Amino acid sequence: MLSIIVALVFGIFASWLLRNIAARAEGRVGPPLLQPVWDILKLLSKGAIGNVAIVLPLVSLLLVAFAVLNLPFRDNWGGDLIVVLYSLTASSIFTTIAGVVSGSPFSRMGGSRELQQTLLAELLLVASCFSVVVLSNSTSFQSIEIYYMTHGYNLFLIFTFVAMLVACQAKLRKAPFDIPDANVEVAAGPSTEFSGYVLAMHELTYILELYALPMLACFVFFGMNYAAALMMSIIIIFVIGIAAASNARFSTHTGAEVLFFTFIFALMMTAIMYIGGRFYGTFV
Amino acid sequence: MSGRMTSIIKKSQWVYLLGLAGCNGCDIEIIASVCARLDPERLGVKIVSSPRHADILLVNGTVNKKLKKPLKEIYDQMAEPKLVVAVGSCAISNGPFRECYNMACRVDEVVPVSIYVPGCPPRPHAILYGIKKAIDMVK
Repeated sequence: MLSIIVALVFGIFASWLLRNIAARAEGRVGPPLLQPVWDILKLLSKGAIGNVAIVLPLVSLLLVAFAVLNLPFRDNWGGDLIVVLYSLTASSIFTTIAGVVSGSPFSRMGGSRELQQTLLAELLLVASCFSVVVLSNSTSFQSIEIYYMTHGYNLFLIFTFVAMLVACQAKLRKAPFDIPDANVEVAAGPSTEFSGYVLAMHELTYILELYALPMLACFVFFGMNYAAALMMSIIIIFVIGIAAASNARFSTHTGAEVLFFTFIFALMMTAIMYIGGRFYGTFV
Repeated sequence: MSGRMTSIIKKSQWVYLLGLAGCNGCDIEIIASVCARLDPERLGVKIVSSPRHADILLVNGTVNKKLKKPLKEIYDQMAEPKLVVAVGSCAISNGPFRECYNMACRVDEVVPVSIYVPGCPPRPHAILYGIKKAIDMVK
């Protein structure tokens, strides 16, 4: 339970950081530090208008919370990579369903874009994470950490780490991958019809994702302890913010192509590591 | 509403921009008021792209016969509590178009307006000041 609270605090800070980086890039002052907190409290205090779709953002939020609970928090953590990846995918799919059933054409179109992007980004996420898995021969976070302790850091993993950053950018729907909620094209995307506390749940899902994805990258690619992973995650959020502030949005086709070719690249790197591991014992 | 909720709502206002049948002069000034120079985000103002997310409806332009129903629908889609800010002479009194054959009524005959920002078009500073004045009206 404590990890959820840490995740919320970190996510709120990360959300403020992303907004402030965008503001500084435009020469603005940016929002105050507690602005995401005020936004969510305000949304929770407002009434909600909507149909049956109001349950689905809650499911989505619970799934991300489940992923956060499975990420390593203390030493000798029993969590597993597959569970985290699965919950994150399921969460995005429930957001898509919420958008599609809520009735507005904007949220339908946003939902289908979200689904397309989620599926491609998820392939990329799995391919890049499994480059570590083929080295450590296990999907549990503990054995990944033990692999790094016994074998040291593998420089070849930098390529798949970059692929992982691309996947994070796409999963967090930041520019140039803000295709699902491109506000001049599809209004607010899947969340167009959400209001009040339903929208607050959608925002909380995003805030927990801001914690889960960079932390996942840290645990998988660096095998760090918790404090070091929090520091590294802020750096990752910073990189994502800079990339978002300095890029225009991809078109739907270009975004899918970029994700697909990065996936092929990550898959090739994973294959090279697997073959290297099989024929030469440990690779590099 | 309790006092604590009021103070939270005063710190975060999400604005939906609605341009009715105007001449686009106010649109340009509204865009200038939410851009980098005045930076409303430092005050907690955020432009949202769906009326369902919004606390404040920022209306400009005249209400003609075709737009009377959409204006009412968009207002009804907003969640309570909600405020309306009418920007420009057109939104206040139909401005130079008031004797046109296709005019239906004024904005405040369709939805309850909290703050009027006069001008043809008003200055960006005046629009931002109008938004802050509307927030002060939340009790």
